[in-house]
Amino acid sequence: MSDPTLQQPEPARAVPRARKTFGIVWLVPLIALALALWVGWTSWSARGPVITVTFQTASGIEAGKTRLRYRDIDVGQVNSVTIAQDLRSVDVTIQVQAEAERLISETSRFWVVRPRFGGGQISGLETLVSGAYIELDPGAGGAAETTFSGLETPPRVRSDMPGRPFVLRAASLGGVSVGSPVLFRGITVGEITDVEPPTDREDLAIHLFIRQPFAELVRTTSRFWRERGIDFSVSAEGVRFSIGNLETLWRGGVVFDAPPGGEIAPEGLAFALFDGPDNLDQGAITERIPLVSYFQGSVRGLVVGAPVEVRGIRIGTVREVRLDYDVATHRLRIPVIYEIEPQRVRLIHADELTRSGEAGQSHAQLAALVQRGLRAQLATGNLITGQMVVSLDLVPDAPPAELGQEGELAVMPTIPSSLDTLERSLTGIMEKVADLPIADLTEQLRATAASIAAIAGSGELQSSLTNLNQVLVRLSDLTGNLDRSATPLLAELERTVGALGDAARSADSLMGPRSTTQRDLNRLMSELTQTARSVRDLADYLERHPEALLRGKPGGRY
Amino acid sequence: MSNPRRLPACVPAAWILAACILVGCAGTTAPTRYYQMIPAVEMDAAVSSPIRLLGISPVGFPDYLDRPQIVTRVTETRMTMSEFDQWSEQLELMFSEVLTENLRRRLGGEHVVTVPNNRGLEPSIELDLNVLRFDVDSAGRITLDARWRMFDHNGRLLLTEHSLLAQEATPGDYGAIVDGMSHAVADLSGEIAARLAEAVAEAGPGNERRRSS
Repeated sequence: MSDPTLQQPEPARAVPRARKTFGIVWLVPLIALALALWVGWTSWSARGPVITVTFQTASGIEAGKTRLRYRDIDVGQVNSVTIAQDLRSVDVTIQVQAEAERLISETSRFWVVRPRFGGGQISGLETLVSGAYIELDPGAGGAAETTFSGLETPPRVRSDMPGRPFVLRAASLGGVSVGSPVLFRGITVGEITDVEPPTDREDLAIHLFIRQPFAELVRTTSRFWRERGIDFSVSAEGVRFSIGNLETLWRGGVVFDAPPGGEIAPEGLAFALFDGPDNLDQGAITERIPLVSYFQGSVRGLVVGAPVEVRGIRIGTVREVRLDYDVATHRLRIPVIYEIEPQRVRLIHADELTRSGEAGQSHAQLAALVQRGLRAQLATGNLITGQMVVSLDLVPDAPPAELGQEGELAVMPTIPSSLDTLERSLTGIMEKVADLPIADLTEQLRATAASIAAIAGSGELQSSLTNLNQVLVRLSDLTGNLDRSATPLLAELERTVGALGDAARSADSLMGPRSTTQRDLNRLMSELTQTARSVRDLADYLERHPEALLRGKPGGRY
Repeated sequence: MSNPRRLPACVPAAWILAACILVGCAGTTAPTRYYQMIPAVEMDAAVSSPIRLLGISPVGFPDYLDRPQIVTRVTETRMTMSEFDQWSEQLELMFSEVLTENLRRRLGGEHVVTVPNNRGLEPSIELDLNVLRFDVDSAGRITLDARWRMFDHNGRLLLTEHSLLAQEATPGDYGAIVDGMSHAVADLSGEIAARLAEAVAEAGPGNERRRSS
């Protein structure tokens, strides 16, 4: 044992070492934290704007899954899908990636790509497998925006497609619909992209887009008209039938032309949409004079739209055919309202005032023409269909009339149509026949007959007959004289007959039984008979002995 | 060789050609002997005919005789034709002429005519004769079988007769045979003449010879 004192060691005392300030082990979480922060920062810094797009439905859209794509590249993801404030649509919140931030502007458009059938095409079939996604069309650029209204259907034209939009104005859509092709000489160069809903009584605005390089074909002078799939029309000008190509047959279409002159049309220029190529010239017509005429007789065959013609050339259109009944006078009348278009008439030797085309000027000219005999008349435009036209022409011997005025309408005086005239003439003839004094004539005939009977009964007839008898006796004497003088003539006749007999005898000697001719004929017949017999005998023998031709008759050689 | 039956115009050429071939290839053929019947009735000067005018119609002949060769009946049904002994003219016409001549000799020339004739004569009695058989058999026996009728000028049948005549000749001697045939025709004319008076009586008073207008 050792000194307890010495042995007794001092109690061990823990001496803490100076602590290190940073354990190396802490580096691990620090690095992790730094990494996390870095990742978070990069993630946050790569984040683009959050936008909200409003759709009608959220069909096919799932939060955290549905992508926003631009040219088939993911540029964002749907964060959430919520019902909008108005409870009628869906707000889709999309986190857009930072590098796509520049694609989003106030002109951007969004739509959901999902399988679609219809409108003449099938699209989005790939989303059957991959699920729907939201497509982005960046648009033309502009101020930044985060709230958008999504398109329910894909846009017909993407903003980055080269070409030009134009506008057509028409009273109605007709056979044209969104997606209808725009044709130039049969080539599809664009399509109808949109139809503005009509806001007021003005024409519809139909938007169309023409692709490059065809957009240069649209000139300021171009005219657009509807391409009808099937065109069948019966008019006063006849029957017409034609069929276009299959696509326009189904979806309609718009055709335009590029007449010479004019410049390349600027973007968005508005054109009038005509019904057909026949109506193009109406585009140039700005002045129309409404007229009314009251025709006598039937207007069967006259329909709204029938042409108004001057010597066969169309200068206007029938607008309205009515039937008026005047209660006071109990009379019917038929006002036919039509428009004439003076611009269809080329003016010659016109002064500036007339050429200016003011309404009053045209009216004054018309009044002057009426004074010179201008009249309206119903004429048959088409004999087969019975369509009628209103014909305006100068009638030299027309009864005098003036160009009247009835409210806004000028009243054009009329003359009866040629059919009416014919009917009237026939009626006049029938009336004259009816007016013949047939009863008087019968009476006179009867009186004449009575007179004849009186004459027959008087003695005058007897004496007349006696006279006649004497005349006959004298005639008989005359005949006797003639007979005597005729004797030489008869002798001459006898000689002639004798000569004829001689001639007959001569003929007899030529052709009779003892004539040479007869004998020669008989001999000829006999010769012919002999020849026939010889031939028959030869044939008969050769048939029995064909070798005789080479060897002669058998059995007789010597 | 062309068929001469179809092309009669080639007949002379065919004959010439045939002759050339015969001469050139086969020497000469024996000459053909031709025969003709003759009237075998003596002219009877002292005839006192009761008839006015007898017309002889074309004689009907069987087709087997309508050939130039003289036909021999070997058996009852078999015929042979002598290629080297032939008639000088058509037998039918020859028969008709000989018969007419025989009758003329019996009745007087002015009383017999052939009809139709080109003189316009109308006979008061008309003879219609059909030969059924006129040939020689292998024994030299000549048979003439004929049926004949007489009509008056109105076409009324006066009598009908059948004549079967026979002559004998040396077999194979065609001269004798033709001579016998001539005599057979003469016998036939005798039979006809014998019945003529009866026919005339039957016909009654008829018209004398006249010109038809």
